[in-house]
Amino acid sequence: MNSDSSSLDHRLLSLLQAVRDTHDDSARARLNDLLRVDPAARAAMARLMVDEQALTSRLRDESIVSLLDPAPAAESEKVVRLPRWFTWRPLISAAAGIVLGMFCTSMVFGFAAQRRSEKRTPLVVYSPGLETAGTLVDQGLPKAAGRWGADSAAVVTTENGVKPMEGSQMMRLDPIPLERNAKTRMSRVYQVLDLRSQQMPGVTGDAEVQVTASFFAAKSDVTSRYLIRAVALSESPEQATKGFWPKTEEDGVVSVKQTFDKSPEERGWHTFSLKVPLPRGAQTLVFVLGAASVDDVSALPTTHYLDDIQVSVLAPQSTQP
Amino acid sequence: MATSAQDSSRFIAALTRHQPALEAFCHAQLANRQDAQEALQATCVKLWEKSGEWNADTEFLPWAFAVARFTVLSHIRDRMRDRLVFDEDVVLAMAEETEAAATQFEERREALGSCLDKLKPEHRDLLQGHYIGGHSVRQLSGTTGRSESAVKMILLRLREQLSACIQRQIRICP
Repeated sequence: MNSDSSSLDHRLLSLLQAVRDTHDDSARARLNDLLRVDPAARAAMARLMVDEQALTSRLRDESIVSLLDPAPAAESEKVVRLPRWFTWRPLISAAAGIVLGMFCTSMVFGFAAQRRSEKRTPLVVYSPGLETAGTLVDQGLPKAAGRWGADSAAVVTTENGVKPMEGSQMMRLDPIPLERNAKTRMSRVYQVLDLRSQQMPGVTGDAEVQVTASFFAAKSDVTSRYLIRAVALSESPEQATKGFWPKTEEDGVVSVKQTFDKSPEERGWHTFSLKVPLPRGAQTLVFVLGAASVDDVSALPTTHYLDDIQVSVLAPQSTQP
Repeated sequence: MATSAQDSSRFIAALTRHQPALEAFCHAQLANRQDAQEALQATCVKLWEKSGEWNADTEFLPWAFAVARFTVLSHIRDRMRDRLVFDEDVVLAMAEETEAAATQFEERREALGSCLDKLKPEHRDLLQGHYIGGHSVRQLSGTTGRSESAVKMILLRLREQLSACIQRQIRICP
């Protein structure tokens, strides 16, 4: 956000505050005149009002949580986008009982992920290691299964005092420079996995995929943010990678992402995992691993390293051989 | 209305999933929580009445926004002008930008989570009191011991900080 847009935000919020708090007619007229003539002001106002709704929604949830649990345990920051079917599946089963007036009011759903009581053991379906030089092929999302794609990355041996976590090679995720004006500063690598070719005998559904990766920040004085994202699709890899990103918003596509923050004092390799419900008939799994430094606006933001990547299918023991 | 149990289930699922974005749209068009709730409720009723027209193979949200636009305008025409923040022509002019912003509601709400974590507890309490407790600036001035102008300024700066933080978060992890 540049200084022009922040000063526009300030002006809009000041006028809005005057209208609401003091019913100031002249402020109301000025606000409406500004919105009438300035498209940038309209876009900024719409964004600010949506953010206000997000704020109200967050605070409302917090106030409910504090009523239920006055002293919640501290939890590390994480952002999870639950797959849509996973979110609404419990609602569907209750759909017959939902009357019109109910779903049009503000409801708080006591959503609890279905925890299975049976033991679930992992079937490792992908653990390639990074010992083969020249593994990176495609820029961005790979066009076929089994290849790595990257925004800006390379397979390297020990460098900058960082040793691979496993074997002799690891992946270096180069930072995305500010001047590139990219949509995101997260430096990402991508892999497309053909689930049809994996040996998963007996897994017929109700399974989960677990993606695990380890990261290391080269600089010691910044907070790093790591990303694991997984998308399961019912198309073949060739079809799934065509027009891929819009598909992640579609109904029926399972898409989950989680970010993990690590503060500067926590130096070393850090391993994170993400679990994704695996829908029946899933043929392709696309996973994305990324890293960025948070609030590091220096000309040379930090490099991150990635190693020990594994994908496992967690299935109930009874469905395994 | 939806013609079969399966259609009804899909419709209810889509409506439930997208209701937060619709609420954000109504709020952004009306800038008043009570009005936004009423407009949202009218929109849901209208969507249910028109559910038979929705093709489940098409995106739900653009269709729902089109219905919401009409119910918001209808709501404005039924209200006294002095209760409204935006004039009707401005609401019309802003509709497209509002749809674009509301479509991103979930992403922005997610990003806001870590932004709120960075706030001082007293600032979070102030936001909680104002936006959830419905306390006026004067009431907050009384409970915090700060002047009204100081409370106004803090609330204004917090809103600016949070919006800027959301933008940064989305750039880091869209």
